[in-house]
Amino acid sequence: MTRLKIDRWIRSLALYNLSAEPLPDDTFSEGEFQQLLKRTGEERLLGALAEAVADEALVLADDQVELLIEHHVDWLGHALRIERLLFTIAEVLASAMVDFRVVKGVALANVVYRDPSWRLYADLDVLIPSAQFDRAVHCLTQELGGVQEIPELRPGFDREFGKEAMLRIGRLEADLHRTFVTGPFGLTIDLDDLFTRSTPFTVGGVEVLALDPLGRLMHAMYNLALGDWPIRWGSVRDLLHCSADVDGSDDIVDVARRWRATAVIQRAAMLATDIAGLGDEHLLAELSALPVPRAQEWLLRSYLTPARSYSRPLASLAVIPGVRPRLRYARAIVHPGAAYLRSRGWTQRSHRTRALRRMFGVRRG
Amino acid sequence: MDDIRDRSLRLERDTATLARNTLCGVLILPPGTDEPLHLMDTAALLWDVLSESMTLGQLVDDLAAAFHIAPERVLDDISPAVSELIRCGAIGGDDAK
Repeated sequence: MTRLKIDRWIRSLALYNLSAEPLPDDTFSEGEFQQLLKRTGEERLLGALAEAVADEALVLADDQVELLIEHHVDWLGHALRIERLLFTIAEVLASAMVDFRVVKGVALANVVYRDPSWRLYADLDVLIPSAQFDRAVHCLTQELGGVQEIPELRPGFDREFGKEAMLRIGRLEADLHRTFVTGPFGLTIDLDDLFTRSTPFTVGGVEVLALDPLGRLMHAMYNLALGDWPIRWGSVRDLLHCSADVDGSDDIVDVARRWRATAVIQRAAMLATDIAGLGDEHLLAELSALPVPRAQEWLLRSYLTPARSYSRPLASLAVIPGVRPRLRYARAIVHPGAAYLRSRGWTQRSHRTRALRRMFGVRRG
Repeated sequence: MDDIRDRSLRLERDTATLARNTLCGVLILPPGTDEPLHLMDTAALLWDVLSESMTLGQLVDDLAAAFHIAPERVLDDISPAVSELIRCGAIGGDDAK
């Protein structure tokens, strides 16, 4: 019963202030509240829980409020340190003439949510143009002592095909993104579109840029459709927030067509519509009815299999234009560099064996 | 540093200080420290009011009028918190003269 109650609350918090449904009228035992705190942290909804308490839409016992404050303040302290890292990084990238857009948690908290205290995050994410990607990684490792714990597959891979480079800077993590997702759908995005427009916001007196509303919505859709599985309820909340900033479906459909990503948009919209119980008049309900080209259905399957870490690269070959780029990509996947293998604790042989097992569902023993 | 009582002192939030609302106050991260400060009660109220630059005298007079308390008493009450905010770098205090 507790599990069902917590599940019901998680869904309600994901939709809090975004649907006509009120929060359930419940109180929590000590054990139940501990579980709720744990789940909201996992689902990135602790901010929504704090928001509901601040609005007096949820009334807790005094000791529960104290515990919530403790957890919330802990996350907020981390968020502030992440924002300080942002303006340090902004300074370094500006000196190196590297353009960037702040994406995901930091951007959404400051630009989309009504108070950044209600959107918590664990790391910093910035999007870098492909042509400047290597320079960005280099100057952040040199100037700020950033460590890329998992190097790129082979030298040059990330700027041409990669999704991101994760850097540890002190105790904090900064993810430099080149595109939204790994695999074929990350390779078909017209990345120049993402740097044409922007939404400025200010952090610590420094102006930085987030994606424009359409870019943010597209990113939220890619994140929901192709990200964590099981989905994180916080991703649903993000998408619902971002969808409120875009008027009408025409531009979304047009971009999805150009990016060969109708399958992504349709899947994200369908997931959000089903989960949130959206009415037919909602933008996402409309997008969930989009017809999906068969070729994109096939690409989408590569993200949904258990062997996706291997099926996605195979599917990527289908969308990479040109023989030489395909050969470069294939070589990197099949024969990663020594530095990459070392960082994973693998050898070439163990890497190939793992890939074959995953692809063909072969079990050991 | 003694508690600040110079009414002509101009108080202004440091722009590099980051802040977030909590359920019982404001969490701030001034420059030069990795440890956020959780402002509650008087300190949180001061942080909120000082979203606009003003002298300590203006601050005292505004609070005195709002809460119907004698200005001297307001100064006694807020001086420690103002001093602490200046000490940690969250608020800048410049002589307005």
